[in-house]
Amino acid sequence: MRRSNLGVLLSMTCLACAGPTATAAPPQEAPAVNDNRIPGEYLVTLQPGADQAVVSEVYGRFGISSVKALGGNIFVVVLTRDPGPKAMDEARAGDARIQAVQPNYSYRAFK
Amino acid sequence: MNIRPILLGVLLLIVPASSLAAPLPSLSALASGGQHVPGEVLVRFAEGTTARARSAALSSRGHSLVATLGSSGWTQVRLRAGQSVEAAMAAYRNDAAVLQVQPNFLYQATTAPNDPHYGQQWGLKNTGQTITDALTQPGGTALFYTTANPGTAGDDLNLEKAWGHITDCSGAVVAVVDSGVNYTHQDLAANMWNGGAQYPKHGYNFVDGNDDPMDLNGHGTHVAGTIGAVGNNATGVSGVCWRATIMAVRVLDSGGTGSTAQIIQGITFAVEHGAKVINMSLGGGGSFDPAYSNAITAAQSADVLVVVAAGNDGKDNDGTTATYPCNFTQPNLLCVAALDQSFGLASFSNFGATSVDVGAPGTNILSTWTGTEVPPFHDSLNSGWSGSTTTGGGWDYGMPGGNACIVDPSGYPSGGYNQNTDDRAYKTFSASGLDVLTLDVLFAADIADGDHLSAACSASGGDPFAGGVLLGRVTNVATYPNLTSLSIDITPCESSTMSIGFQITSGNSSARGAAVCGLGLKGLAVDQASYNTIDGTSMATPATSGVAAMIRAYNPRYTAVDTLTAIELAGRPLTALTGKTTTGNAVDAMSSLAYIHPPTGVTVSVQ
Repeated sequence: MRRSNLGVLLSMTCLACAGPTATAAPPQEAPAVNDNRIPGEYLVTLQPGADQAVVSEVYGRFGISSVKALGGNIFVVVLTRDPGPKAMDEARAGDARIQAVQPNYSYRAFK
Repeated sequence: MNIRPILLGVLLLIVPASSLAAPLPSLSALASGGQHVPGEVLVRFAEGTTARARSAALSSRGHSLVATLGSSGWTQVRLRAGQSVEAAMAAYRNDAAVLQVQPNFLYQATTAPNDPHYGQQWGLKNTGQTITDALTQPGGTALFYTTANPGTAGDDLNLEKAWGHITDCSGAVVAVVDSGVNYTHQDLAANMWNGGAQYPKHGYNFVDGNDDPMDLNGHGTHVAGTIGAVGNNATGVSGVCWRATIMAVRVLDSGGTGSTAQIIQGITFAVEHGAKVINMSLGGGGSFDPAYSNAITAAQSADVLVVVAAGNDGKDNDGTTATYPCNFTQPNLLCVAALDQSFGLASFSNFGATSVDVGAPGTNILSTWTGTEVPPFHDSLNSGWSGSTTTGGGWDYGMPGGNACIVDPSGYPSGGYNQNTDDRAYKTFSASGLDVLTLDVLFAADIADGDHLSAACSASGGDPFAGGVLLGRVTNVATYPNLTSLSIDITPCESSTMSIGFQITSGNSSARGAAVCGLGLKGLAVDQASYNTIDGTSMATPATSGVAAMIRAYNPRYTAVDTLTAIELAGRPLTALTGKTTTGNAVDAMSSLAYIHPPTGVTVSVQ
């Protein structure tokens, strides 16, 4: 067993320092009450044969932070600006190469 | 024959046919049921009775031959539909060719493991014992489920009888899709799935995308131990299965949280690598999740049984808010509620007359744990904090609602933070020798759209917003007056001089501001010999998965649906579950093992 130690070591006095002023982020759609979706994350299922580039092509306007293939033509997409599930689905409806899009939901251990 | 029936013994003290007219205690015992095989008798023919004559004796009564039991003269006979055993025995009474006739009695051996903490595992064997918190980890709570402790003897999974027939479930791989499994634990290592050279650590980690599914939370290891902690090894605890094949599939992080993306990858991995049972002691509320549902349907196509937890909100899953995966409707899905030590529905357990199927032990459950938890440290939030601001004002100590907090602005919740400001507050802590370090924060925030409240940490100390690790950043939130809790893995910042801080940055806008009114640090050091006693439908679920593995190992040709049916229909009826679950039954291992019904998916051709 590793030796464990956790506690307050010391305190420090107030320091004055300048930092960058944050720029305003684009509007985000907040999840509704009882909605366990992860903001800005979606699962996009492409039609068989469609290339991953379709994801960027269709959803790039929302700012793509990352795209990861999950297998089965499903990709998890992280957006920098979350337009909300409705807008994501409207974009899907306009492109036959996308089979489905849904939020990436959050789950937890039941203990 | 695809199904292995429970061992049917032959009573050696035979009742002579000639004595059947006399009152026989065994016959009255039959009326109360359960001690013999229904629809069968054993008949002993006189020496010299030809096979043709035996066959004629059976067919004249509408009976059929099951088996000739060696050279003893005994014949196992199947009765015609609807005939009682008592009537059948009477039918042979005056047959000169029959020496003896008797029921086909059931024998059930009882077996108990020698694991030293077995006496605290009431779910396996309830003797009415009091469960103590002697093995509860300090990072958790002491036993808080005081209702029905002690409980009622006999309110358990009825395993000791089942263990008389099978303790080795290793033929049915069980995937624990959870926070991982401590595959080095002394009570689990021997029962882990062999993933070969490709998966040398017995599974996969879909949180970090590597082949090491080590549990950094404890939950998955607890689940695994309930299913298959090595039994009868004179060490620790016993699982439902003494021998098992446990596949570790990590989809929940050290805080016990995961996503659809991680879970569907985990399910797919389990299915593709031969799991027969998937245990998922997890869930979420609200929205139907098509990708998750599709993954369970794929498991159904691969004949994999999926056992899931009902949830711990004490609510009706059939009500306004569903709980997934429990509320999915695939026929290979079994959803489990938690029972207390007197087989009442646990107060925290979700239920649902159409969504939750069975109940199983889920309070004060002792099992394996992934390591030693360090007693949590809670900051007083009234000293030792440093701060900086670019506009004056900034973070300060405050007492909103009478609680010690650090707040920005100093008059929070009155006033507001400054426009075009960068306000920071941070403090130095010490943490070392830990495999996981978690920050728990309780906060309230009103932050304007475009302004930000951020949290950060730094291993080198000092201002964590100058080169540290950004932990989270929110904008356009309004939680006041409610406090929100957040649990964050800050292991990368662990050091003897680490710092944790909060920041408000703003543009030409302002709002009420923020208050941090709770800050705790907790740590975990992974080891090979820890145990823990906890509550949850998460704990009831693996009890059921273990029984499922037992059934599938005993009857290898049982389908997932056969197994589910045996668990559901052979369970023990409970008033507490009537109207609360689809079956009203608690899981009963022995009854489920003995439940025999025609397997599905088998075709017979007549030539």
